Amino acid sequence: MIEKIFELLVTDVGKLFLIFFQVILFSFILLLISLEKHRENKKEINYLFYAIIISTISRIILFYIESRNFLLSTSFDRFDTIVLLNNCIDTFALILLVKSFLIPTFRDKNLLPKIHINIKLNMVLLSISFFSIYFLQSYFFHSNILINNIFSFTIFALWKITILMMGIILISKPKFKFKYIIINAMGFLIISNLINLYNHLFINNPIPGLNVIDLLFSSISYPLFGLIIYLGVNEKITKNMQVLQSVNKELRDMDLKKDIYASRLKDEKKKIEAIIDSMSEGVIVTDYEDNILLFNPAAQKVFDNKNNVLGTNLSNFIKRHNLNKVFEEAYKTGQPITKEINLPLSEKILKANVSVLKNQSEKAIGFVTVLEDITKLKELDEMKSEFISIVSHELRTPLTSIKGYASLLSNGKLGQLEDKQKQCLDIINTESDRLTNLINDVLDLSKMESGKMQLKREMVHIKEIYDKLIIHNLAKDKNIKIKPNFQKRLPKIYAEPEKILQVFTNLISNAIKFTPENGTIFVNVERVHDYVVVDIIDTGIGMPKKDLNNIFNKFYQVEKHMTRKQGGTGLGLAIVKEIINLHSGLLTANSKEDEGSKFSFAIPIVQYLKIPPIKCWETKHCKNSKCIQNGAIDLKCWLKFKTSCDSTTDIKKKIEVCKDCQIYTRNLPRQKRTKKLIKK
Amino acid sequence: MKKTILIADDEPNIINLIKLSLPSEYDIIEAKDGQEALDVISNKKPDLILLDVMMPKKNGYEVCKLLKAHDETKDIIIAMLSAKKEDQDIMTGLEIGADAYITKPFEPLELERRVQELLAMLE
Repeated sequence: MIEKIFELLVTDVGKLFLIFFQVILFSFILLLISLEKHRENKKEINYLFYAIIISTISRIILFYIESRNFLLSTSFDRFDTIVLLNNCIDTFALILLVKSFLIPTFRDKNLLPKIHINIKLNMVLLSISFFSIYFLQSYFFHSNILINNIFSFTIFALWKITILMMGIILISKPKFKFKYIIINAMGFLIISNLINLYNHLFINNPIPGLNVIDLLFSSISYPLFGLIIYLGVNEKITKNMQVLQSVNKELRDMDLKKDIYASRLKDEKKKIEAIIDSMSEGVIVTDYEDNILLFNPAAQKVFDNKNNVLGTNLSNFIKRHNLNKVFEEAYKTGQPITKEINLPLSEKILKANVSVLKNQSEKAIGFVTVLEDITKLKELDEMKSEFISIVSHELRTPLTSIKGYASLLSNGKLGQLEDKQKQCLDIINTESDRLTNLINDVLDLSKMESGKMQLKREMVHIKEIYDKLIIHNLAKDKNIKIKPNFQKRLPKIYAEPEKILQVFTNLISNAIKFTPENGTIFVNVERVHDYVVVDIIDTGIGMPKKDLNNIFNKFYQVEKHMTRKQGGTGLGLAIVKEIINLHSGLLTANSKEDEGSKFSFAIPIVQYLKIPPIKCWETKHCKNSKCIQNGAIDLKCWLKFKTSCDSTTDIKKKIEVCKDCQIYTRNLPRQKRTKKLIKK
Repeated sequence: MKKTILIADDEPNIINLIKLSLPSEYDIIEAKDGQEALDVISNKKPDLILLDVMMPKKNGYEVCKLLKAHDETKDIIIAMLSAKKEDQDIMTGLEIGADAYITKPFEPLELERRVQELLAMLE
């Protein structure tokens, strides 16, 4: 059967078929290369493997023929045809090999940083030359034996060089594990090549059996290469597997973490929900289209609502409950709004705080409404006011009798009195006056503290208020000089004249009280920024520092002074504090024992302060240690802090005010301020 | 002709104090509460009423309102005399037609002066 095939192949038709077969094979393989370029690595690596296997088969066929010729000393007459067939197979193998070089395994840039492009180019050139050589060799096979030999040698040499190159590349790979095998394989191949070279150079004088050794060696080397490639690929796959496994593990870890986070989130959500649910204030969260997103039990209670309102529109609900105005205002200003709302249906009074709900990028996405049922508070407040009003009325009635009868007696209307009797009656009179003042003060204070005091503010000259002061008699009694010093061209202040007069009265009469006879009291008035600042400086007995922070408290007594003995109500400074506070002003006290005290207050000159007022009446300290005014409790110094500090340039960062007050911390634009100051 | 002054107050001590404060040239009549004040007025129309606000039965405001609403009594001078001295109270008193609002406690001499002033309005 085989004999017949050989016979058929020897004919011209057979040769042409083989040539044709080779061309088809080339085309087919080139097509495969172009098509499969982007396929998975693993498949492409296989080409290399196939190339080696096929090549090995071809070697084995040759080895079989050569060894048979040698051992039996016979010439196989169809040898040429077999060589041709062998070459066909070799070509196929070689092309597969070339193709394998185009795959990523050997294109790994990390392993072959620079050679890589050259190899690729070389392989392409190699395959082109192979193609042409094989074609020519097949064509001229019988016509020219010399050409045949040269071609044959070139083919074998190139084929082996290619494999050698591959081996070198593999050895040069630092991570390649199978260097030992490849060195062996290359050794066999080199020997086989040297023999081959000899055979072709001395074709007319061959050494018998040398061919056999050549083929034996190459037959051994090829499978070794195959083995390397197989192992290499395997290693690659293992590596890939490891990578995949680690990725998988990471994914699993992530999954696990995700679960943990999810459960934590759930817990947090539950916690927050529990907090919101247990709040005594009603909380309603709505989106921008007024759909209710949250409606806690307290809100349900406030509205006496038993239906589930989640997801429904709030608009009907608000209209019914008078909430829409608050929402509109909050929507317009973007600021939290607090308003009292009367619920017409349930006669409840609610304090509603509506603020705009913002997401992380500060975009408004809805509203948060916090509702507090202040019905009871309001009732209590009413009761308190009523109580105070009744008490004060009840106190005044007997007081009217005491004061009235004492006055009648001391007037002498009911008969002449002795001096001592008159003295006693005068004391009753003074003390009942004091009691009356105390009641008035308590009432005033309670009104101011509860925020019920509405100021009747107007633009007024502070000098006009001061001129109405009628406590000079007190000063005359002790021969105390009061020296007013008003800055020229003072602007009007925005204040209620009567209340400011009360401040003057209280502070100056205090100063008179604590100034020894023949002393002096200075009243300095000047403008500082948006305020008119009044300093009332006495040359009195002063007070220790520890008292300074408390003197504005109700009924506080400075031990040294024994205020009560001096005839005060103990509420004067507390009232001053409240009045100044109502005016968005500032108030400070400074004192040195045995040298005197200095009370300062500042009243704004404009209706709307650009900088929010500092609601503070306590001692103020500059926090900057560099500031020479550090620790100063001078009001003017503090007013200057609001815009700039005189003594240092880097003070402007913070304004810190005592714990009882609103705390403003803000950065002031430095340059603008400085310019303004220069202008002034 | 002697001027008649009605003192309406639930506190006898205060009534007494007012009586002592005012000179004897006035004819003084008394009432212990709002209703009594109205009854007294129906018998004898006074020239001036010193009217307390916080009184039983009818308070000072109500009495003042009623008197100022009737043609026969609206020319009586009414001075509210009260321990309530909030701006609000004073405003209310004057709004309903009181001619003066005197706050307690008062200085007897001051009361006498105010009464004289108010009665001078009649002449």
